[in-house]
Amino acid sequence: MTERRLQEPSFLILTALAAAPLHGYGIMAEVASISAGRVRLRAGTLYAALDRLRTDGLIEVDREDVVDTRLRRFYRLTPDGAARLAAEAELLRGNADAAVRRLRLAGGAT
Amino acid sequence: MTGPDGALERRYRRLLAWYPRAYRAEHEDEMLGVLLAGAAGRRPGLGERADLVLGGLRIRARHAVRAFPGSGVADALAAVSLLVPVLLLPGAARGLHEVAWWLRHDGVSANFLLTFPAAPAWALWLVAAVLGLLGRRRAAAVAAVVAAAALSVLLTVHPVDSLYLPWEVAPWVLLSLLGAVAAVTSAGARRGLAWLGALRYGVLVAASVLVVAAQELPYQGLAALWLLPVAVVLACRPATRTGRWVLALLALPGTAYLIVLRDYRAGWAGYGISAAVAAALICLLWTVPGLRRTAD
Repeated sequence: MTERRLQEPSFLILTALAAAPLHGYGIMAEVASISAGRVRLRAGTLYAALDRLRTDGLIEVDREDVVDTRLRRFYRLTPDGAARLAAEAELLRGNADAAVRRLRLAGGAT
Repeated sequence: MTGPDGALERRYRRLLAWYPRAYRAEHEDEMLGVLLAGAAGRRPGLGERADLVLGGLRIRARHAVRAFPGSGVADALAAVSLLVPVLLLPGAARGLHEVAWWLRHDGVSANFLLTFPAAPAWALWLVAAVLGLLGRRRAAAVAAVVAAAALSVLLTVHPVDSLYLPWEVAPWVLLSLLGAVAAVTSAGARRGLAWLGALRYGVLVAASVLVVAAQELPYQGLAALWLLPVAVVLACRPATRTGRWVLALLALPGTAYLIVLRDYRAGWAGYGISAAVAAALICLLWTVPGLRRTAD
């Protein structure tokens, strides 16, 4: 069975975590930055995605801090998560390259 | 905590009650921190409320499905979210023929809304179906929830809906509510289509359209009574455990459908009989040895 494609929020969350562990609000800010403001995750969407990614073994808890009596939980990529992100990025790059090549062949892009 | 921040925190805590207790125990404090850090006002906005409710329902559903590892429930819910808009089509048949009548006799007119007030709710189901097929899972889920709520209210509460008697609407109300739950809790119609296959989906669409078209033919009741349930049972891969789950989930509205078609005078008791038959069927599916462990 082929692996299901990552949905865009999941792809962006994994991308946000690729460089360093982040807590929930940090992930939201990083996703907005990576997508140039196009994707703004709300908390409900973020935590539903984090729950699924943890269940699939693509992310895990890195550490927990308490700031102003409030718990902050940091998440990081697992090796499986890094491999999945790399595979997805490669696939997207392949598709994008193919699209650009064909547009050039058709004279639709310069 | 008191004051505006305390009030906002209480509002967020009330919304987080949509999440499973075990999940809240682990994540509530963490989520509150994120919500309060991103809060733009003294009250959560409508979009943020909807997002939290949908997120909570999704996590509840995922945790419930996890209780049956490898059972096929996740694919079954996705398939149901794909199928419900198609299976609702015969419910709109009477209204569609009403629209056709108005178009033939009165030209393009909004008059049909007087006798077909639920038309916008049926139309919204069509929107949900298209969004689901386009892979817009969240938008499809929102459309399905609104459509199910609107259809339930317009069909059961509307006092002057002359097209449907109150007990006739049981299958469509139940199917609509099931569709909304499936759309919110599943991975969406695209995943359902991947499991079901385009050919089987096409067969079910054709069967539904035929039932609608047959409304003006003699013996339409007989055609509807047999054609759609037979098509559903055959197309939903009953030999697989996911297929059996699909049929179990559709059992409640399906039984109501058969009862109403056989004898609409079953009245409100039809709801009770449907629930009893469906519960018996689900219990049977549950207790068949090895069913939950059988490979798809």
